[in-house]
Amino acid sequence: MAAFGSLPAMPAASPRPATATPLLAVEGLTVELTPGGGPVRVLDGVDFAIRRGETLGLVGESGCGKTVTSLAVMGLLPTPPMRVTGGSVRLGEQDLLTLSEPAMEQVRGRRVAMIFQEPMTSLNPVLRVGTQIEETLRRHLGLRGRAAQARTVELLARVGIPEPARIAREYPHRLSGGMRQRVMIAIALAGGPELLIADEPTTALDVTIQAQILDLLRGLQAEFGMGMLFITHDLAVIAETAHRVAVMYAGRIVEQAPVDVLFATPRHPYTQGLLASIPQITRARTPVLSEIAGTVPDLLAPRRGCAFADRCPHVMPRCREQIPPPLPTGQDAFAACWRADHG
Amino acid sequence: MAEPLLAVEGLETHFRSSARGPLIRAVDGVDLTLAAGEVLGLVGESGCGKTTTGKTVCRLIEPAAGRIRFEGQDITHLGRREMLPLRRRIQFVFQDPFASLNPRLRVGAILAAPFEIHKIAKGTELEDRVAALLRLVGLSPDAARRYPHEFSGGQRQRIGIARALALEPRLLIGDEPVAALDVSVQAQIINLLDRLRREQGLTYILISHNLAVVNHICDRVAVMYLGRIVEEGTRESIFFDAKHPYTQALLDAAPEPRPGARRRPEPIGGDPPSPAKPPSGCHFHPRCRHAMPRCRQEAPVLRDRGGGHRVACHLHPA
Repeated sequence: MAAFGSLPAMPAASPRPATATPLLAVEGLTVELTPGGGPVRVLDGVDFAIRRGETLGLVGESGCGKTVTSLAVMGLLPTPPMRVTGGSVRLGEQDLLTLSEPAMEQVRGRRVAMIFQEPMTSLNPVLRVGTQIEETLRRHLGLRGRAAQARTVELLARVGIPEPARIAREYPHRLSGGMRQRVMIAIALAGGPELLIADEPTTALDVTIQAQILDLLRGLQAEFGMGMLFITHDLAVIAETAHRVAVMYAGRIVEQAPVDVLFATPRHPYTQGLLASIPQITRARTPVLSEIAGTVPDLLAPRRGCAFADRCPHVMPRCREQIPPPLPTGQDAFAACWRADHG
Repeated sequence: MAEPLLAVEGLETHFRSSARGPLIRAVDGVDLTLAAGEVLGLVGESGCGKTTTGKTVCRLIEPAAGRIRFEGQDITHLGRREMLPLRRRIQFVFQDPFASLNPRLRVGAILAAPFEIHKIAKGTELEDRVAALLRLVGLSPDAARRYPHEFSGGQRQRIGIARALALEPRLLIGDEPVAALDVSVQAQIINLLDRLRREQGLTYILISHNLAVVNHICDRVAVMYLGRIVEEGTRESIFFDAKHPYTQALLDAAPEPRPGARRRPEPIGGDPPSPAKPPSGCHFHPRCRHAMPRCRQEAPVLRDRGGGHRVACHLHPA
């Protein structure tokens, strides 16, 4: 079989603009949830940018707002109860938050694609795998019939599926978890997206399969120059996948830095605590793991100041009064901590 | 050598997905021994049989073959009533702290139940025992008056561990006890388990897919693949001198929180095969880079390669 590289190129992302406009720029993104009582801010002024060919890792614990962030970018927030109340999400020059739903449908799957933790819930169980890929090709690229079928087989081959022509005719439940995630990735690639959002894409997979999928995503990104927003709770996965990392806590980004800087010199006490609390495979064992006291705060409980204050070993009176703004800690790096400049 | 606390020989557990479905050998000839005070890690990917092994060892699932000796007694075929005193001494901690606590009972009642069932304590003595348990796992005795839903995941897992420890078991089997917890809370539970080992001399089997957690708390490690142990040894021998190609692949695949720490080799391909249709010979041969013709025909035996490091691989003859 011919190498994939010799086939007609993937529908390419639009050429790099002359200006240094990032691919995706999220500014001041604020999302409120209206449960029984008054509105609660689940995202509070989230800022980040992703360049072409770059992977931004968004890391945080359950309930910190990382998935809400991705849904807001995709225009898929369940509204109600959630609603964007501020900020902008610019893809190139276009603010996605101002687009109508029909216009947004042209963006989703074409310019921005998403893969999720559990591929079985995103694949249609009664349609053959190939049909689902052809659907995306028809919808976004106008490919039909033989051309769409041929392209489908190419895509399945590119994501490492053995016997792609045969697998195209299978139903999702016949495939393993790893194969289903590869199919999801093929569907995501079908429209030739500029940005791929991957929300815990390997969390449900076994470690050897996780290694395969991470390898595949890295290779695809290098090949197609997509920007990638990679969401996970797993710092080890982030270390191996992201170029830059944004750490979220209670609806805010508390620290952002290039990956090697973040792991070598974390500046926010929450990042420091997270990194110190994970066991590592080392010959000498750490006698006792460092713990972050307490638990993740309840977003419904009213609070003032820094959300991490109650768990912070360095808390000062000021932290309980004023929310720290992002303060620069180096090139392309900041921490939202009043002590950020204390090292 | 003293009688081990637990000795499992040739253990097999079989299932059928339906009456006419194929026989699935979820546990396919497992040998294990555990000395008092030891912590054994049982690792492998989903479907390898590690949880079924743990449940069979404490007789939550009936074995199809083999022998389980606990404190020198053969418990393989003990009846329900004969098992009851043993249930005190072998406890199981489940993965999901949300599903394993009765939501309608206060924590005090949940923790009192083991004492009541085994008629060990009542009245103020019972209250004192419950308060002591809560303190042991780092919770306030006030917790007894509250319901499970009032606690976070990490706190609920502490309650689950407290319940398991109530009757001072000799052996604790933990099935992924930290997998469902947030990163910042995992360390609290790992430290708790580690402290119980050091201070109470607790013996346990930790079933986990997380190699870093296993490296952190286990003395010995057994690696399972499709119902069989493929390698077993001390923590050092498994993590730093792995012989079995599957163990090596698992270690290579485990991500590490150190950017650019190393160039990992190309990950092994393929999926773990279905236990309903296991490959011939060595179950790992279709994914193994070193597979030889012999590996397709003959299942390698788990043999001691010195110092208690056991390997089931034709590349490493005894």
